[in-house]
Amino acid sequence: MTTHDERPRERVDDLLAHMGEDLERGMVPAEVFNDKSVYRRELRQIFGRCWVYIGHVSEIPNNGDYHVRRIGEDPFIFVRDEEGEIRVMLNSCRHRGSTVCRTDAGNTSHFRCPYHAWTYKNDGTLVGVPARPSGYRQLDLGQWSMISAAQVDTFRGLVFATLDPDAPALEDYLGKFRWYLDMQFALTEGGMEVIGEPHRWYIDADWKSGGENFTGDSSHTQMTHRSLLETGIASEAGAGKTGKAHGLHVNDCDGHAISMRVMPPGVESCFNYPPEMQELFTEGGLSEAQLDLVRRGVVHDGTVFPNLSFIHFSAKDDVEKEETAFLSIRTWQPRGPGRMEVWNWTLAPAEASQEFKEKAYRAGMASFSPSGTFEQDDAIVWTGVARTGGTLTAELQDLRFNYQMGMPGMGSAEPIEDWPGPGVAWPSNSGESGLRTFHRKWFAHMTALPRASRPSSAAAGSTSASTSAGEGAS
Amino acid sequence: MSTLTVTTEDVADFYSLEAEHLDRADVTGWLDLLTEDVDYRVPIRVVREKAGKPVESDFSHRGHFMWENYGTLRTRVLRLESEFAWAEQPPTRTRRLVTNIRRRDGLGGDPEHDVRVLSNFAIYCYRGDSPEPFVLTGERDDLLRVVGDDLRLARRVVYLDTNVLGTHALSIFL
Ligand code: FES
Ligand SMILES: [Fe+2]
Repeated sequence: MTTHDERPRERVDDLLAHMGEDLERGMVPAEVFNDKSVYRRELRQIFGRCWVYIGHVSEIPNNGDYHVRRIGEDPFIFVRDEEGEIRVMLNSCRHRGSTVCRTDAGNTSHFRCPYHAWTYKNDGTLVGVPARPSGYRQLDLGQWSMISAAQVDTFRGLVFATLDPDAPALEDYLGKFRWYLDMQFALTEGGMEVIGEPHRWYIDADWKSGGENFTGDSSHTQMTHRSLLETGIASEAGAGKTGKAHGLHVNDCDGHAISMRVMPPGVESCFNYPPEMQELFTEGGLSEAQLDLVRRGVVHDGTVFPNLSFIHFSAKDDVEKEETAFLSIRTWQPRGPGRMEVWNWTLAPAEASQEFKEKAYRAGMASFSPSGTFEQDDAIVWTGVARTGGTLTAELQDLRFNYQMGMPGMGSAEPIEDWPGPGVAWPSNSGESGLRTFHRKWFAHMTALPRASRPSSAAAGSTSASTSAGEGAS
Repeated sequence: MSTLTVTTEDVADFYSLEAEHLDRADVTGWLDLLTEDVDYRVPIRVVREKAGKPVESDFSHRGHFMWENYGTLRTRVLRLESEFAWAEQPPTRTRRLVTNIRRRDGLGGDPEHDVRVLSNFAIYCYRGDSPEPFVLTGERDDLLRVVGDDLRLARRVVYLDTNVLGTHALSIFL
């Protein structure tokens, strides 16, 4: 029993107290993958502060198109309003909080609350309140717009939002990692386009297991995905067999990280994009150094902190057929301690033929989706991590997980000196530097001062939608 | 056997046999029940405002949990039979219940060879040491082809009731 007037020190405080030192030694406390106090704290400190991926512009091509998405656990409507502006608004009625939009997606000019019929335009402005003459003679509709995310912005078709009005601009948040994102999202002039609706599925695993893995957990491929090597579904180069392709890890890129496998200089692979599409890749504005990493690219995978990951790859859905290129992006949504919901989208260059997009979709679905031959096995291993994180033994023995692979003194590789891009690049995939970057960023946010409490603007009925008009998506 | 002599009991027997193969993790045996031009799909359900008429309108045209042909199904089976397909190693213990079988004679396929059948299913999936199963339910829209004295699955569209899978991975056939 705790006393009512003193907030007890929580487990998360104990863990964070030694985590700085743990990270120096390449360790992470097991409990961060499954603990209530960690989870509650990270909703506020990570998902309340960071830029979080919402959706892609190609998912809402027309005015009125909308999808329901999340920031942390909070439901948001991702919509293109009648002016073509992209909005990200809390899916909640300003009257007394009922859910305004109870579908996954659709097209609408207005959202009408099913409780007392307050009605909003799709830019969030309140336009209809029943019984105004008899009940709300002085209600100022302009003060009761839907609540917008604090900032909304777009990079290369990727729409992000943050709940923190003081968060740095998106461009600065993505920082130098934009150099690597360009290689995935700006191959061609038209950029990438989402194909179909996202896969959604639950895993009894922590969202960080997905995030850290995609920064460059190259050493799991040979074991977790061994079935694909044994059967020939994955090629040796793609699966990271040494000698076939070079491993490259880039960490400390403004808190984000990427892992690449590329063919030796002069050998083209280009994720197995067909030649007629490769020709378009010179028109996306990429530099020679970026184009070289694309042309030699077998796989590029990375994580934009906190929970957006991507993999640019090629896969076979039929062992007797050729590989097809695809780009998969996914968010690892927190859904409780040790539990996440994965959202997965497959993309292809906008200029590609319908036929190619269909092939790319099927290759992506066959490898990275809930039924994907790669992803099925990832889900299974991550559940074990959360299970261990939730054990009493982890707490009683202060259990730490090992992230030491490739650390100074451990690894034989040295950073590449004349690396043309940002971040620290290693000519080896025998390392976990990207995972360490991920957890350092996490630690920095978890221990940052909480947002200063400020006068509650929502209670005063401020017009958040009109704020977003200025900041809206670019 | 011809489409004219196929009885509802024949159809029910086919589904029982199919469930027996799958529930006993005999995926190779299941492949033998398919035609080589099989078209097998599990589209993604999207919850929209105007629900359910016809049922297809609730489902994505492009987004699928599975979108298979014989070659891709054979590839999945090949993987499942390797020792290292961790999602099914040890295998999910499943129990398939197939009910509400409805003939839709003449509506779809080649009436000379194909019988169109709708059915409902529930699949109970047990994993690890949890006493609680994941349950997948939905409707299947099949074309069963008469091949000699047998029926084979020539086309299946699985309409899941859920839009979000609760199952870690979709590593079984529906
Ligand atoms: S809660 Fe929405 S109208 Fe009352
Ligand atoms: Fe993996």
